[in-house]
Amino acid sequence: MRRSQIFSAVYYAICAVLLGTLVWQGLPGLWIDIRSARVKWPRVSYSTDAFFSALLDAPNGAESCLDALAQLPADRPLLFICPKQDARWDFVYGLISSISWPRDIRKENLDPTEFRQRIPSLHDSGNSAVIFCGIDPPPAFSRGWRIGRQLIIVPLEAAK
Amino acid sequence: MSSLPAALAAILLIWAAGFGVAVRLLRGSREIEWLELSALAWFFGTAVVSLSLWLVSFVARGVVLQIFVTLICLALAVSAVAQMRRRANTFRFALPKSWIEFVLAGLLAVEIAVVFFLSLRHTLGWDGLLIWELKARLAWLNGGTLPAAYFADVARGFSHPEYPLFLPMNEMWLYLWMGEPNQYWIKLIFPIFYGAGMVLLARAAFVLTAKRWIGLLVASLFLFVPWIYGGPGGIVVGYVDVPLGFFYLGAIYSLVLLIEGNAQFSLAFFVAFNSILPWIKREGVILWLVAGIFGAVVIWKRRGLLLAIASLVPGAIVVLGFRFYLHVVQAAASLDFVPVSTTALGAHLDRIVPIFRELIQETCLTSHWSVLWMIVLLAFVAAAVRGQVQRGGMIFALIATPLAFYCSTYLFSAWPDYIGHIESSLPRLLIQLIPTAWLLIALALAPRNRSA
Repeated sequence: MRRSQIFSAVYYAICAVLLGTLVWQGLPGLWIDIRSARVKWPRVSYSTDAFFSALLDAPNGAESCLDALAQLPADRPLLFICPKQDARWDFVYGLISSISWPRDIRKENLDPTEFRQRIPSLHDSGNSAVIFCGIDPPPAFSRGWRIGRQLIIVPLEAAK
Repeated sequence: MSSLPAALAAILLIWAAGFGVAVRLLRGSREIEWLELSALAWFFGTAVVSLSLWLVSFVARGVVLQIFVTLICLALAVSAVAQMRRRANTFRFALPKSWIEFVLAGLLAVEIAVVFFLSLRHTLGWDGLLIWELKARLAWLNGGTLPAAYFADVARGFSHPEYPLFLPMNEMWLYLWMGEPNQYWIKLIFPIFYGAGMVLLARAAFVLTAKRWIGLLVASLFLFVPWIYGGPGGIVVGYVDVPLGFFYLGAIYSLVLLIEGNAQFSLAFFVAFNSILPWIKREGVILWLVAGIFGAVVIWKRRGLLLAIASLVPGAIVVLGFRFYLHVVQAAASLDFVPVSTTALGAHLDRIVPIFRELIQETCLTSHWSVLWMIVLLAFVAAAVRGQVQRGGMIFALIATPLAFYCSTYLFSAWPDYIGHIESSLPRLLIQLIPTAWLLIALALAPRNRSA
């Protein structure tokens, strides 16, 4: 066998090892993904509902939110209150701001002290509703639409 | 389920529009390879439909907009068929010719089916839902164009109103046909991008190496990079990074054809692929500029200076046109970066080493990339040693230069924790370069001293 053939064989063997390593490392994750995959029935709000379900334990979350929002005056904004430094609730805010278009919506990330200070001024905020997410609403704001465990939409008329 | 036929009709129209453009650009070719044409048709179709929707939406809304764009798609397809009849074009379907090609083609077909399956199973990811789909939904609710109020809405600023509209417009096209913002069936777009991208990669690698099995091999291995199938920015979560990477691959493939001088249509393909990059994502401007300058030099040497400058014009129109649009709608500037200035650069020079360290750490993360980036580096060395210095060097430069630009943008990061900015976005930027990286690996696998 000529030297160039030996070099060529060694070269392709090294290539095979490297590319084999890539497959070896990538295959388990891909296989787990395929095995655990269950294709669900098509739904209009497939992704939004999936996140509502995962983050708030609220199946049909998009529809429930839309039903609640439909009962609020459209010309006044929504106020979304959630704790600071928790990306989950920022994501929920993103979902709600998407499905609530064209309503105005604002978000306030509050720590417990700020939340307590903010409560007295909520009634006069000019909003149509306050959405408490990942935070327990004060007793005066307990009447509203519960969407799963961690989210409640409180119409300010009801809170009064 | 009732939305599926409408979604398929919308997809077919995208393909028809792209078919029209691809056939037009393939002028001079008597024989057309069917799979390659189908892949090109998808890429050009998504470009045509998204741009048409955006432009026509300035004068028409709702059903009128839908009819208008449908007519554009059909007109392009019909004119292409007429053109093919005049030229007596023939179609060719490149069947595998050896057992290894059969095995690899079969594996690739299975992988495409798997990606379809996984796409329908997964949800859209964070960006897929809150940046791209959100825009599509809002545009659909507003009759086909993004409401002016959205651009001024600080509360929805997280969705980056300033981002280009390639993907939202394509998603909205499906919504227009389905009559509802159906988040399930729009996921069909992404495995189609993957399938078309694999055909393009296999074809490009074949042209580069003259070995079809190498093209099929790199296309088959593409899916095994963990972040491609399982990470944010991957194929199945509705991000635009993989499609952007395929368009960049298309531009480089066309550039290779142009350099080899073996295709009359390569210049038109290069301009088409490259010009659309800034329309896909913000980083597309960097890719457009890098490939555009490389391309302009090549065109200058072969076809003259005037054509070289002209090749940059369509992309510049896209960049400036969209910037003008953002100016008119008064879109807020991105909060992620401070304005580029020598003062900002001087103030953040101390970031260079940490940025470089983050890049090395990220590319070495086997849970994200397996050993891909190590293979890419070795492939560059191997290609050079095996007599492919020029082509290997060019492809490596077309990977390394955008990467250097990407990293340099973090010098202007406005995040209080710029390392966090790097960690959250660099993986997605790397994904955009993976299709081209596989082209370099293909080159290294080519028999010594053999050219296409």
